[in-house]
Amino acid sequence: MTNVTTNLDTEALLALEEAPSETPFQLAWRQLRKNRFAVAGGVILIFLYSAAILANFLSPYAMTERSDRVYQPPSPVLFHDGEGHFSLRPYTARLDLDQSTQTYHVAAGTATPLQFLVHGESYHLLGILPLSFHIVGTHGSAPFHLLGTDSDGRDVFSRLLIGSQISLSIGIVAIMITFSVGLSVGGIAGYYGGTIDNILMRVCEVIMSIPQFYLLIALSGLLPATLDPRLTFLLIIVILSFVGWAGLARVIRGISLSTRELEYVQAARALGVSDVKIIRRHILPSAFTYATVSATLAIPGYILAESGLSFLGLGIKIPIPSWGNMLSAAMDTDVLTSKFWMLTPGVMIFVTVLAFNFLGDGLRDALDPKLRK
Amino acid sequence: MTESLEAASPVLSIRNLKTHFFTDLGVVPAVDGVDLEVFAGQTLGVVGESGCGKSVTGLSAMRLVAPPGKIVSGEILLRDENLLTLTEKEMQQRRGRDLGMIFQEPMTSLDPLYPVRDPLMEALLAHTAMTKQEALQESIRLLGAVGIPNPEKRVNSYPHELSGGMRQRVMIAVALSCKPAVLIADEPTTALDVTVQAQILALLRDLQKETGTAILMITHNLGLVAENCQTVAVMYAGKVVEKAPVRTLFKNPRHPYTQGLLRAVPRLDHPPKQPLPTIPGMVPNPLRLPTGCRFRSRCLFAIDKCAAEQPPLAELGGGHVSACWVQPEFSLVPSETRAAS
Repeated sequence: MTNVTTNLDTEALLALEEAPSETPFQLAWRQLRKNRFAVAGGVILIFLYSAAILANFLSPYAMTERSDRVYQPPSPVLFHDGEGHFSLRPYTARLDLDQSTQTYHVAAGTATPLQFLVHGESYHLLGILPLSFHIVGTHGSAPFHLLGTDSDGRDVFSRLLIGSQISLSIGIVAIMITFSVGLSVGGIAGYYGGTIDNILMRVCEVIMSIPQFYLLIALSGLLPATLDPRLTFLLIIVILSFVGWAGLARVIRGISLSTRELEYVQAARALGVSDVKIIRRHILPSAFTYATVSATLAIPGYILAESGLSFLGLGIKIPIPSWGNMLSAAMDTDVLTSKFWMLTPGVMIFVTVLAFNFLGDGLRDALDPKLRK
Repeated sequence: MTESLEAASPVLSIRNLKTHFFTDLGVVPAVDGVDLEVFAGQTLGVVGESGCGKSVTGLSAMRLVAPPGKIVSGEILLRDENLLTLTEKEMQQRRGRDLGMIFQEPMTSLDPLYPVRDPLMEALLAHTAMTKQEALQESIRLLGAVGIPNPEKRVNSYPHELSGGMRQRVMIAVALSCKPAVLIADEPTTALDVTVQAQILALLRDLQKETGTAILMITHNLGLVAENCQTVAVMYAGKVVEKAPVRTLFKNPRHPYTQGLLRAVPRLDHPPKQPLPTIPGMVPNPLRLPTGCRFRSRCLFAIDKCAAEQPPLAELGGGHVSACWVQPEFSLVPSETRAAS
């Protein structure tokens, strides 16, 4: 009993001695968590991507379901049952169009409680799980359009969710292609140097010298209008990555060139490690920090590019929703001034791009040892 | 009988090696007709000042000379096999397995991203039939063998957690992991402080006794050569100018360059407050090497013949060769012959 403290001290010392080495990944993670903006960006992105994955479950209506309620403003969410009695369960009410003023008004006596886990349109969750439950909805005469309806009376909230699947995944998939092509080409060019380097870099320069948006428009203009939307989606990704990899490859090549001269690369060569393994394990990791950051910062570019293409009618075709083509519906002044809910895709693009930028900045600070405190 | 025969034939012999660098300004003959032999269990020291081609010789033996450098001609025989005729793929298998290399900078020779078990296992998995588990066990054993305390734990340490001496020990363990017949040590202790230097060299000697590895020790430190090598080759401007068993070379150097180097070593009996003797002049520009003997412009004994013809390595008996027309006797006080010319 008397030497409890001494025991504790020795144990603490032993624990310290036995503390496992911190891997570079752990170190970066610790740094990243300190950055509030990056954490906020990360949380927002996790939230958005989860919503995209569960879009079918979260959306009350099918994305193409039309109604005659054109440009209906968002349905009200009430915390009383329409007769003034407070209720914890939210109610909604039907909005009726006043033909004389062309405006929607809450119809008296239509207050309906919102139902949770209601039966509706059947769908496959994550593409496999057959379900017909939707998280929220109504029975009866009052439809529930949380973010109103568009020019064809389709539910904007539902379309926003389904559209996020396209808009959010396009950036990720495109960056994965860009990333792998850019890393391989840059790594090979930098490691081997000489003629190989020369050829690969000239190819990059040719691609980079073409005005990007013009090339995108030209290439997507070639896509036939009757193409399967899924194929269009894939082709747009390929087009975006085709334009994007060259810039990344050039920087990676520069990093590889300088890494190649480091003694540990020569030491690995002196051990008889194969070229592929040296590039993969010793050359590219030194470029990985840069690549991760630039990828995170490039994703918003792809999301915006898709939005831009779809906005011009060259990307994802209506009725399949994407944030870009939904926003193109908000082009005229009438919609801009009086149908504010039609601008929500723009808000979503803004939030996503900002979140990626915050996360990217945070990653850069966390991965760059020079900025570490 | 067979054993004595084996002992007599070198493990690694470099014959008339020429490695040239094809730069925009012209061809630099960094290594220009070098002959060296390394025997099992023995250490050959290669000394010379910066830029004399000693490191390029080491890299050539590994076939790791980077462009614009190129091995132009010669033979590098590992036992009976000419390494220069192998394909790159075959050479890759020899590296690490038959030929190991230790570099000058232990601080940067280990990839900071991976724990020290990584290069060890990389070598073992590439060249032996070991499983991952066996390779890990062997890595721990190797770390213990190079005198790293607590190897079970250190095997998971990252390079930045180890001191320079420790890292060089790791590099030695890596280079010797597959028990190569030849170890090329390119200034293995230059970046370390003197006490650690002594430890590392003692470790190399011990390991050599155990494994019988032939060592090619590239250095500019004559003291290190005296203690660790059986044979010494002195290089100047891409050529071996003198080669001898270590005692002969220190007692009776016959090439003026070797003599100059030895005189430049600080000695306890050097008169106080006197400047150390140096070799006058500079290493010749490798793009414009002088005709005849490359050392003649700095030589105290140069005669007319030196400008006309390159001196061949002349046999002096007992394995002692020296490339000089004059072959002057050695004295610690520099003679003043040059003043006359």
